[in-house]
Amino acid sequence: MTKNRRLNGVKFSLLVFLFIAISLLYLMYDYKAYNILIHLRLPRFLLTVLCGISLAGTGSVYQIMLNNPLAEPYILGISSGAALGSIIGGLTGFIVLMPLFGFLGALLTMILVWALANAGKYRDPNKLLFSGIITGMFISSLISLMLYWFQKDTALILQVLMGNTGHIFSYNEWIYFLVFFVLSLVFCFYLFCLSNQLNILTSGDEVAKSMGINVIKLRKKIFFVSSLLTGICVAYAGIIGFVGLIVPQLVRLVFGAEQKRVFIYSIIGGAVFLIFCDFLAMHLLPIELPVGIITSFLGCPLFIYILLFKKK
Amino acid sequence: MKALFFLRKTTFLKSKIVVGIFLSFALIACSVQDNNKETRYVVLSPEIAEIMSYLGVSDKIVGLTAECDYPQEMQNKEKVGNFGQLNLEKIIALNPDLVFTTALEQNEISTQLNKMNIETVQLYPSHIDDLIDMIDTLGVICNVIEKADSLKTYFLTHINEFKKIADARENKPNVFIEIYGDPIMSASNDSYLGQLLLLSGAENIFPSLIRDYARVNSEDVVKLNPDVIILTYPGITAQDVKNRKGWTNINAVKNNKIYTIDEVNPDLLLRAGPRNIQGIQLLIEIFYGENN
Repeated sequence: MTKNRRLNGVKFSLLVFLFIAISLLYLMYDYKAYNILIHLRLPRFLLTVLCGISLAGTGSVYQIMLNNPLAEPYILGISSGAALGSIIGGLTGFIVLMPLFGFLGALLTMILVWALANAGKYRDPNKLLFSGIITGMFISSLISLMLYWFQKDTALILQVLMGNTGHIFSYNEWIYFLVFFVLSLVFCFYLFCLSNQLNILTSGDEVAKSMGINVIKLRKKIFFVSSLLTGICVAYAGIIGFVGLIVPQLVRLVFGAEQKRVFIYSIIGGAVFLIFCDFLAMHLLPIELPVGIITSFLGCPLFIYILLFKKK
Repeated sequence: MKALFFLRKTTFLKSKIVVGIFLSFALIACSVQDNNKETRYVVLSPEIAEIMSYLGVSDKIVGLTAECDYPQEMQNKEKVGNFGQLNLEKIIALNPDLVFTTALEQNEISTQLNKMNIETVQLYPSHIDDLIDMIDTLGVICNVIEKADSLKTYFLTHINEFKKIADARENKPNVFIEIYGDPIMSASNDSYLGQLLLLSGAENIFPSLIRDYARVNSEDVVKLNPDVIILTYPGITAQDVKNRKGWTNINAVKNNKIYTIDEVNPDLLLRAGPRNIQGIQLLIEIFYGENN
């Protein structure tokens, strides 16, 4: 037991060390000027960290809440709603207000999905999943329509869909972002506090109910908090795929399935992974790549490697 | 329903005769039309439409895309869709002798039209020399070679003069052209826009990019510190640029040298054509405050 605990301590400090190292590399590589570092690189860094933390954390919680290993923060349609909001904002000429539109899109979608999941007489734990996926698909069709209709703005729409952490902040916007950043950290902490209940939920709804957990209320809490988290990420950085799906699964493969540990390692791992990907997106080629492409390109081989070489 | 009934009842021979009569009528109709008919062009690129109007053949244009809005006379003509979303049936219904297309998204429509035996000409000027060739080609096709030559001379004289003045200038301002805001995109010296910028006697802060028009990093813009910023797309104000975090120290922002489409009509710079002369003059006015 003590040996195990010490081993975990080593793993944890290793991950934290990795986080610090990669952050320094990200911030200091190709240093141009102090002004640029503070006003342009640092905001980008914080946005990347926020996305890594929120997406991986939410993913780990969703996979238990929806009882589905393939669940990810985007599966319930919130991301599509936020993306559609941002795109509409951008297309109608409110480029500066795109995050606000995105966040509104996420809020509306969240309310719609929850209402759909609770409408009608048919009750089933999977109903939330169904209504989320269907809403997402419906909104995706609208996004495709926008993509087809407004070909001149393909660049804008694609960067929302492929993820772009290079958001350019205005001074006012930056203050709002900082508020959102702190809010997101609070939300993440709240999700962390639900870990014990989630651990019980892995044994099934009936067991959880028999142990006095109000399963519906728990799902509602998680759904709303994580939707807000996802909404904030997508509003600022577009849809960055893969992080929320694979990072928690990787963590479970390496560190075991206890939710408290999974959550902590997921948020640090998500941040490290996304910073690394964004670093490559910026510097790999002369032209900047959308970070969403790098995440899947790197993440898939990494996952396969760990899957194949993990010792039982 | 009645027609079908009739067809079913006719014998093979009868139907053959009917088809024959129809065919001969159609042939007569076609040949009559061919003799009297004016040449009919469908133009899918605003640049070509503009030059054709300078060559005085705009009355032969029967169909256009929604983007072909200059000069005024073009706005009353039949529209066959947008730049990238064209209505193939509408184009065919206009019965054109020739369809003028541009490159990029329109490669596909050329192939489709060719399959239907409609002739197409693809013209896409990516360099000022290409524009000269394009005027030549249009002159030959539309049979207005003299007008094309005089347009060419007018254009070349001005361009050469601009070039001479630009080469002689010292202390050229560093200019950043932003062709799109989210993500930030700019134009290199190889792009058409970049060449116009050089002719106006300015230094592009991004002389070479991976593509003619490509995404750039905002960190680089701040580092390269442009003296003038030109925004060529709608929906952004000078104030929006000033409010960007970290951009306050840029010379253009400090000295209030940010120009939007309200001051610089982007069509003068982004569309290859004789109006580029006005575009370059406008840029010179901005950079050097003189009217050449």
